[in-house]
Amino acid sequence: MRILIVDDSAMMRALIKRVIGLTELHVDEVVEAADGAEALRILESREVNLLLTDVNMPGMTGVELLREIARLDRWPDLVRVIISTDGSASRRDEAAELDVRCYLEKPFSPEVLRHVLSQAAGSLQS
Amino acid sequence: MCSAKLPDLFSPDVTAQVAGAIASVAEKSFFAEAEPCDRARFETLEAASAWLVATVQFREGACAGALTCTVPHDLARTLLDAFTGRDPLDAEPDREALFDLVGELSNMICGTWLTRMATAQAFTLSRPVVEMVSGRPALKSAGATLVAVNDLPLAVSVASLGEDAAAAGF
Repeated sequence: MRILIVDDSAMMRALIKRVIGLTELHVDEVVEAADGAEALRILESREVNLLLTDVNMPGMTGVELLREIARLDRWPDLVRVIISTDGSASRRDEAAELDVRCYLEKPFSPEVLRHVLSQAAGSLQS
Repeated sequence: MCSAKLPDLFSPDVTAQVAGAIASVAEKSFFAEAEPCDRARFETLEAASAWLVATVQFREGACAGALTCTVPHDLARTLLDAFTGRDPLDAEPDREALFDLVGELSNMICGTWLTRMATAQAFTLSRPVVEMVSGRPALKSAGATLVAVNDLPLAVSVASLGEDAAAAGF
């Protein structure tokens, strides 16, 4: 499994990467991007199975990234997960329309992130 | 002016909601307890001479405001160790890491508070602006939420930025 973490905070990317390392999931590669535009470039250049993205980022936001992924329609099997401080109902509705599999609110405990990762990995295998 | 659909985000009663958001972030992300304290106790809590001040702006429609976190350097370092699993005996973390940490702290407190206050609205948050100041900074509003985390002081204040700021964006 190849995972792409998109967050403008290097600290948050490091935390997510650390929790991924604590799971028993078979992970081939974890790649990082600081905003949506960088994430798109990575998606175009290599295979990614699981996308974990923040929402509020400078430049291209997480929602704009997901809209672009949907518009391009080139990664139908990509499992999309949002990890954001914004847990509002309207943002969650917006995410559901963009084929987001899980919505994780920050702050989260490592156990909750591990659970979400396991769920996402399960949907990759099914 | 904020929409009638929104609760009053800037009322004096807001400190209880902000305190709840701080407690949630402290527990889940930093495995720490945030204990509410009054201004007298806050002023007596010892802290490093350098402080970090992080501000996040938020807006939704015609409503715009800012949340400011004021954190002493030694608490920022303690939180960084808890967040990343760093060994406290390791070398002093670099300035960029501390700024990122305090920015993310303010971002999480702001997002948690807004989600609890107005779950139907999706706010847009700015990138946190972080600065380091020397000496205990004056709090930006009388209604600041004051807590002690590991017996170190942390203050969070919120303020309205008015319709012009909302229209201008970030």
